[in-house]
Amino acid sequence: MTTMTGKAIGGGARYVDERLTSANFIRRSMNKVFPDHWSFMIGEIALYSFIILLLTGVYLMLFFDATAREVIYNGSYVPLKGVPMSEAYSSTLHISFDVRGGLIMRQIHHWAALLFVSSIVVHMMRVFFTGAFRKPREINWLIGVGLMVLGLLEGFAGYSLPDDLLSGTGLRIAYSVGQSVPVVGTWSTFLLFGGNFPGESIIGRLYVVHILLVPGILLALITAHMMILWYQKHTQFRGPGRTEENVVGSRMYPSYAAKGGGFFFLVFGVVAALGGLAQINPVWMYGPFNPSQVSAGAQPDWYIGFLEGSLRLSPGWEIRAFGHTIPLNILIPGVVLPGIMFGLLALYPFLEAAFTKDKAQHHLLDRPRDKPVRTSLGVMSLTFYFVLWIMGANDIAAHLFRISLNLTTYMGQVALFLLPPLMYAITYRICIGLQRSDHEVLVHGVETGTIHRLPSGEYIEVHAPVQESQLVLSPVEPDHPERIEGERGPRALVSAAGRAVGSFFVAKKKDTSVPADQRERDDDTLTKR
Amino acid sequence: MSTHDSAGGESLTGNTSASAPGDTGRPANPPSAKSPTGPEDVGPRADKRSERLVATCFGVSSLAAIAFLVVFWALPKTDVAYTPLLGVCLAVSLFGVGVGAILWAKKIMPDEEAVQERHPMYSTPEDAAKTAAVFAEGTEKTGFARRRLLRYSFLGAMGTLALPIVPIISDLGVHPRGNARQLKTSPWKKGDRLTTEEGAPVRIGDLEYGGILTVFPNGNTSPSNSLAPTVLIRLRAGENQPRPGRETWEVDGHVAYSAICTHAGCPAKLYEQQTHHMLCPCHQSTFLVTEHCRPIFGPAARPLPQLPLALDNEGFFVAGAAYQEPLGPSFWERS
Repeated sequence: MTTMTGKAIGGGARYVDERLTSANFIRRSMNKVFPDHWSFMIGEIALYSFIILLLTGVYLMLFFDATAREVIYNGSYVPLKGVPMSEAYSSTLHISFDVRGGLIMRQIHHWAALLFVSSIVVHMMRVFFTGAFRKPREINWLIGVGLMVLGLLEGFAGYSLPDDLLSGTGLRIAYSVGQSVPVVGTWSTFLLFGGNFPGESIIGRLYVVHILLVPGILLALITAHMMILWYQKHTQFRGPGRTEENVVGSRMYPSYAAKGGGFFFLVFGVVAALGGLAQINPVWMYGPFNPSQVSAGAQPDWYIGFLEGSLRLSPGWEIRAFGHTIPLNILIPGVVLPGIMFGLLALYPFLEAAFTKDKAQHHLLDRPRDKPVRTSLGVMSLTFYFVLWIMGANDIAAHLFRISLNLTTYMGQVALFLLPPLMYAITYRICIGLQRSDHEVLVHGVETGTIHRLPSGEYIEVHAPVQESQLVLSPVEPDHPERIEGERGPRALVSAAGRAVGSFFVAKKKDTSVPADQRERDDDTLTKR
Repeated sequence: MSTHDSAGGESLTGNTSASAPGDTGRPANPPSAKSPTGPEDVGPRADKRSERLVATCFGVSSLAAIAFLVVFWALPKTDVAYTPLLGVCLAVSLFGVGVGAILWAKKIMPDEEAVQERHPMYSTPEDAAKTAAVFAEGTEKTGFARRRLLRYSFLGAMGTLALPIVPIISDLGVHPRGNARQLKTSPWKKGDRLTTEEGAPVRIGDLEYGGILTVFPNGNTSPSNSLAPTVLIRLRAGENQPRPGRETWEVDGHVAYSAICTHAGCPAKLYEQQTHHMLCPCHQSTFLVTEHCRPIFGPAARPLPQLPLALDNEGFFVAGAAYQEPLGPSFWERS
């Protein structure tokens, strides 16, 4: 068996090797080590949903007609029969009702798009809170930010294509946002839309953006992202045997390939189930776009929600002077604010390195509690974002909780400035508290639950000292004193392993890393508190 | 434990966690955690069981894929269960492969933990210096720094090559000069009849008190005329408090305002009779109809523009004049 497969592979491999000299490269690749942690899989979800998007997108392209030409609908969806609409909308209805399996393809595509952006955002949070963006990975962070922004753009362009009432309203707002930019705004929106809103060209142009331009850039950036990841090797959490100089985990082939490949099918399976069972973007219910109509309570896809929220929270400010108008009520929430948010996000690794004067290379990840300032900044920013996002649906919230719509807006305006600093303070305290509890464990050992009665009659609980193998983090690295130079924060607090005491989610695990005889010896050295 | 240096200079250490526990230190994935059955999971019988389990997953996947085909062709595509069933079949067949592959990796492949050294993430100073020297030498050979004529003519050529982009881009849309004029032109002219979406002209009595109607100029409901939609509202006598100079713009309690929100351009026409509030559902700008549609809440900064009303000699509503100000959201050239 082995010899047979070996022979078969040998023949093919020799053919390739004599043309590409690939044996060493392939061997190294197969032996490449990937650290195992559930949080490292989130980025994979983004990659896999991108593949699903390409597969389903190509299929949809075969049926979709991105033209604004007006036609009279005559398909099998009866309520819209005889209604004048654009070819784009009509062909979307055609895919949904008259193409076998067309609706499920559309829905899988839409769900995969939501998953793509969501997993990018969660992946970025993981990278941020564990400090994986630090030197030498700043370039990949920048590529990641670019991927996220392009993902938003791609999603927006995609759901604008059907030219239904909901997406048309979104385009109308996008047009107004573009128009609000001083000096060049009117020009650029006219160039983009080919004239005044809505124009004849925008659907066709968004189509090119959606199926060629942005996916092409996304594909190139994803490739670069993966190649850099591959070359730099993955970061890993601290743990026994793990250092800044190594990677501990499973090999690419076969273990990681099997798990990762299997994970792709799981992600695809989830999206397929959603596409079949959970209706998404039922464009036939909205009707064709009409600038004189709008539906109330209609929300954009989730990732555009924060822009909708910031536009809603804006006060009615406008500057009119010297024959020109600057609509601050759109410019600030629609252009300046997202610009600042994405700008700070992109620059964060460089800002942190500058403020902490940290020029060292990092391959070991931080636990969020050990970098309270960064963690608090992250939570603060997420809170800011979250308030905007919630406010994108304040009409739904007002309806749901039966409070005045106007009140929700005032609440949002206050919360936008009040909640983020509050969350900073709370997060900081939580981090310090967690550090102290780690410190406690390190100094006094782990509670064993064993109560001893002393001859004097006093009861004490026995604490077991933390074993070396349970220590996950020791910020002081005597081998590399230069690494901790300039590192801020309460360095005196040394954290012990979460697994030494268990955590909220995971019970304390039986320590299997220490041989039984070793464990017994350790048990003898119980310390008394 | 075996260590060997590969041709790439990367050393790789591999070991099973059972044979050299001191080096793994990874209780996150200890052998006992692989299966709830624990130690029974080893041995030929357990191995066979695992193999059968994985094969079952793959078998279920194949069956579901065939079921997908059956549903695809056998069921009418108008059936309510058509898309859900396709989704379930596809999901099960994908899950079968996914779960099977992961179980294969977890239950059948040996649990190896490997350690790999990292490359230093920088070149040696000698290498960097050598590279810089090669580049400097190459640049020197081009004479780029010395030959000013070549340098400037080359940069000039690159610059002028960028020029053709300008007209190509600027021809994507209408000529920029025309922008402001187009946005400032009223889609309503004096004497245009107010017509409903169906094209019918409107006269006094068509609207009840508190009624609202979306109207278009002379039946032009084309979506390309996106700034034209206007609302006609009938107020009770004396409710309207017109701006000075606009006393004659209403006809028998009827007033007309642009439906396009002055904030982001959505149709702002959710009208509440009692309060005379007109709400834009997009960003919740609220306008007070009885007070020349001034904004009283939300992000809008300007009132909705008012259309002067008049009656033609047949008694139908017409525009008494064009809109006196640009419609819709603000822009740089507006005023």
